[in-house]
Amino acid sequence: MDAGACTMIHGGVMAQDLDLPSGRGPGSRSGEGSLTLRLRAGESLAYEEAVRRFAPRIRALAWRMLGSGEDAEDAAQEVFLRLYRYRRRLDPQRALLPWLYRLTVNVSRTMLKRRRPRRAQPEALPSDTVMNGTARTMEAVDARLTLTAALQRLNPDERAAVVLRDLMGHSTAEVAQALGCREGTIRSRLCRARLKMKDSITGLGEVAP
Amino acid sequence: MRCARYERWAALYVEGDLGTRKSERLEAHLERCERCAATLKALRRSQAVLKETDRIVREDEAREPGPTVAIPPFHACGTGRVFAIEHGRFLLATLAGAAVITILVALHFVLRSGNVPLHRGPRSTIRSAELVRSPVASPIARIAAQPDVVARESSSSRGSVVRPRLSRRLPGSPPAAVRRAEDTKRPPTVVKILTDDPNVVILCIVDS
Ligand SMILES: [Zn+2]
Repeated sequence: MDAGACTMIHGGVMAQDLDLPSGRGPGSRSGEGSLTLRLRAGESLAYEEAVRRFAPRIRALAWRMLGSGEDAEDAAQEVFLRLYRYRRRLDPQRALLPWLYRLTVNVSRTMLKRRRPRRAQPEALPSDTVMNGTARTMEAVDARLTLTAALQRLNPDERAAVVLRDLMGHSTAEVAQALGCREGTIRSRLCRARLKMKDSITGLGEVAP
Repeated sequence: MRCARYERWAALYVEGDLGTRKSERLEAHLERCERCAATLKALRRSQAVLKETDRIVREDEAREPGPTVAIPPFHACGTGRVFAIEHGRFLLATLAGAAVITILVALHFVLRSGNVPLHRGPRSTIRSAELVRSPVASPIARIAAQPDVVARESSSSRGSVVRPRLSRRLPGSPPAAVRRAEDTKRPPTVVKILTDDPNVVILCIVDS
């Protein structure tokens, strides 16, 4: 998953821009290619820019994968640590964000596996959002709980597919390329996930209409 | 059995992930199957709830401070950790390299100076030393008087006493006649050191 996967991971190119709606080549989109070149050169400002630009999305994905603010921070930190470590292997012709997405999913999956001995439900989200005071309003508390409850039932693969496709709005092709799967695989994951979430959300609605 | 398949199709259809032909077949089925129509309705509702809750969470996330502050480990210790790893590796490599070079240099000097005892025999202790004024004609004295010759001969035939060919004039050394005259003038000092081992006698020749 680490070094070997990284060269492979970065081979994925998004069909559409994941960063800004622009029709140019994936590497040159919104200066991502030049950012990759600057990262490769070891420019510290480029690293800071990458963190500033991508961290919110990486943290959002990590939180939805892990359901814990603290774990999401750890995952995001690990992702950017790996970005720094493998910066020389980055391909300027490839988009950076899909690669970061896949790293995030992989890191989150590893963290979920590590929870196994401690928790009864291995891949369950801890739902400590409200407890550790991440949410700011009651509406946000409610939303975070509902979202966590819906994603709770999914396995990490289904969760990653749903978050990237349904919540972050990427196309099935983009998700497939970011996660290194075929589109058919992503579609069947989405299908299972949506049916599971339908049941859990309908269940929530029945309890609290 | 057929409805199970249409349910799966509905889960893709709800977000536009189903192909045109399959979508048409599903739509035709939905017109006559209430159960599948209800499933699609529930799917639409759950997807809407999911997206709405995510929108609220996203707004909540946006209210969090920017990434530089929100993720302090990146700047406070995250980047520090990165640099610690990079610099740690560099430092380790440098130290290892320096250690190897030091060992090699030390080995080189030790072996060159011949201080490495290859086999440990019984040690000889010095019993007495006597000062000997060497006679002029002594081959040892004459050898000692010419360091070049000593070096050449001792390297070619170590351990055995060899009389150097003094008749051959070495570059930079005075002619034989002059050399003999110098030898007569200043005879070298020879110190004979006796040890408790009868086989070991040390002769120290000091060229005055
Ligand atoms: Zn049906």
